[in-house]
Amino acid sequence: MMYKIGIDIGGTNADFVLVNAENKICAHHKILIQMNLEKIILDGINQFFTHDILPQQCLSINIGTTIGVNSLIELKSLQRVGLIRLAGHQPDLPPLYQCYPAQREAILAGVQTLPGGREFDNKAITNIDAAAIKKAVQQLLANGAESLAVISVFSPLYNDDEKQVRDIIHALAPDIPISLSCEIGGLGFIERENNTIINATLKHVMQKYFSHLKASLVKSGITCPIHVTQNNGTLISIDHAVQFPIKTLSSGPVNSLIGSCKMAGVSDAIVVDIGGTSTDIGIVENGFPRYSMSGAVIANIPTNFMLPDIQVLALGGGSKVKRTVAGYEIGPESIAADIFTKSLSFGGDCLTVFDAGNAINQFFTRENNLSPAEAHAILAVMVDKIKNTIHALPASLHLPVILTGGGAQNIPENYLDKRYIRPEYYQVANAYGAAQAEISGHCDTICSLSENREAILDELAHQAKQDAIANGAHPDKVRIIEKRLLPFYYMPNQLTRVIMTAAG
Amino acid sequence: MYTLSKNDLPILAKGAAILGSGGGGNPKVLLDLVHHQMSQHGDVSIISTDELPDNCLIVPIAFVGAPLISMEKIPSMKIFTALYEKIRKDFPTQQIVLMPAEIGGCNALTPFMLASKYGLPILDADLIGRAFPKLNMCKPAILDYQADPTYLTDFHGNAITLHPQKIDALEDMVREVVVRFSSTAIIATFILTRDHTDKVIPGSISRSLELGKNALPLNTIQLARGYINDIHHQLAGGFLTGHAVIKTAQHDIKIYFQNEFLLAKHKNETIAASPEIIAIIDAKSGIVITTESLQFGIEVILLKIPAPDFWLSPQALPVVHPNVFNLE
Repeated sequence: MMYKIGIDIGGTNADFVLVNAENKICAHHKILIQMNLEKIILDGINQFFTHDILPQQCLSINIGTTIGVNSLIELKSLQRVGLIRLAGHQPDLPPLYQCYPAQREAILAGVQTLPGGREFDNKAITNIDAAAIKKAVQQLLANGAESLAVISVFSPLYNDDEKQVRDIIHALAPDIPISLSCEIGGLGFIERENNTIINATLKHVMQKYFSHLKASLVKSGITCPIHVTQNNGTLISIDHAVQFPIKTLSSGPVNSLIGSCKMAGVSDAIVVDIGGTSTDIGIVENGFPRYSMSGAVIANIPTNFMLPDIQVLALGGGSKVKRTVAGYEIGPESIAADIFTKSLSFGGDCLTVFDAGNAINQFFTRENNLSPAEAHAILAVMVDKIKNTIHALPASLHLPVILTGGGAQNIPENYLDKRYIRPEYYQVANAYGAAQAEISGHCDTICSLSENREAILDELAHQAKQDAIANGAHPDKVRIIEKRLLPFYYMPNQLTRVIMTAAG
Repeated sequence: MYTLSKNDLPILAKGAAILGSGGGGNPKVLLDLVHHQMSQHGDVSIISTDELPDNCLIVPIAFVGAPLISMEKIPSMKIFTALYEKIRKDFPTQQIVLMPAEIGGCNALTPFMLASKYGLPILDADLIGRAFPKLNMCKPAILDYQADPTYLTDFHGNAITLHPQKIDALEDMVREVVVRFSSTAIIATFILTRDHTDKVIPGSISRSLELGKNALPLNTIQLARGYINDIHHQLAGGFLTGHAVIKTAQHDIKIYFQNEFLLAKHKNETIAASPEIIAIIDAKSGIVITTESLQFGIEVILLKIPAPDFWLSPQALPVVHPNVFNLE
């Protein structure tokens, strides 16, 4: 019997599931993240091997995580970035312009604007100057840069100059992490620059948690591949995730959306993930999340990443409840991490959603004197807020609603009509999403579609499938799951960016 | 007269985007650029035609070229200062007053770069009252005013002065130069003096600010609320041309565009047509949708806003009638 392990590393808990070859959950557990995350991951994994299941039976370990996005939002564990702009025309907009000062200070050590960059037809804006690049790198390092980001104008089309900069940096400072904008993608200088800076600042935190993981697991006799889910719900290798943390920013929420639907056995649904502090609501169509129409803004920073279109409500299991003249107000404050000490049910003095749920569902022996009537009133407010948000979603009238996440336990069964599904293992939907995620490959290129359009698209689809198979996808199952054509308006030859993702 | 601060910029941009009738590009980058300038150099005065100094030179300016390219090649002040210095040299004694050549879209913001840096006022007016694809589709061109001289500058500070004698020549010459300037340039054209304020459409900046505050004009009509169900586009002669379909519960509405939304039809019935302003707004976020940002599946609101009066005149209407554009 072969198994896969899915792990979700959230803000408060790490969830672990063991699934069999049919993607059925065989075991699961949660561990509170209090310290040493690596130890928690190792323990969580090893717990599955105390039954008569041996490490050799594990096909892969798939991780979903919000480590990256949490780091960015909390400004913790970031490396300060030195930015090199190859832009001979000297653009007059400072980097990270939309950030507030404390953010910019935490993320950016300095910027050097140098000759270089290309016009849309590959003509140099001004010629690159290797001596100036060397000097710039030294200056940035002297200013405290710990990770370097490089961007050149039109580099998604012409990337030689950025690669040349990489070579120069390697010669000067072999150990410093480098992020090239051409490898991170997307036309649009400011957004690509933001993506590259975010990638550069997060490399350290990913390395900190994940680069030793493989070695430590090998020591425990666990040698299967380790994957991380990326923003589109498919898997990339842990090495790739450490190189490109920006590809994993939405890893947690995407797993929740896809995992919940898979658990419920539907391919189209509204997913309501009730956490400790917030509730995330998203839509899944054909098994994949609906993406937001403009590039996502991550922690104030505009990017051009397509991230799942998720509405966040400031209410969750740990949300504080206030009694007012008009009724009950829930949140936005929450004591999620301290539920077991500060909530009324555990002898504390905070009235929370959890207490209301506890009063009715009796999860734990009641220590509060919350009457069932009060408890119902509080939960009704919560359910109303969720229902109102769902009703405002476009094209959603016929979709089932899946309740998932730890906070979903609070809603009594009789509140939910036929439309609502709370799948059996809903508490670990994220980890399940990771466990059943597929391995992907992709092709992301810019080409002319003015001639032989179909033949070119077929060839690119083939390349994506081959890439997936090379990464470990099953040749029989591999298929194209995403095909995006982004035309470059006003440029000759119907130049188009073609993104194909294959999975299996 | 009133002053605008950097905090007013998003409101101006939103209202201008609505007047853009689907054209005018994405203001994100220009908003930050102008914000940055105004943070350094201060607020900008907006004056009416009554407040123009006698010896003024009214300079309408705009970005021309491929919007995608300026998303990649972010402007620097050089492109603006080169223009200012050239005009200053040719007209050393007049008091320069800036004006957006085109209020529709990003170009409402273009004059603010120079206005802030050099402390110049901006005239509350423009040449079109909305956006249109071609240079001959503006009030001075229709009233036979000469576009001589016309100035163009590029990102390296190169400048060129054109002396077209006919409006067709202006379009051809500008296109040629913009290609040579690597597809982005600043243009200053139809330069006016106080005697020729009848060549402008007055009040455009104020109108944009009103619209941006969600105060739609009295005879705005909401035509529909539905989903973008189909998009066809191609590049034809340098213009983004095609159509999109908005699907509502009862109707399928076809919107034809050539850089701007120019015609809306339900079956064979025309429900909005150039010069009426056709605006498409994202129902969820309130963001104004342009021809470039049309996406399948988004829920939108379709609005029709009355054309600026000038465009209904017998001289002007034939120049911008939907038939002129080869839409269907």
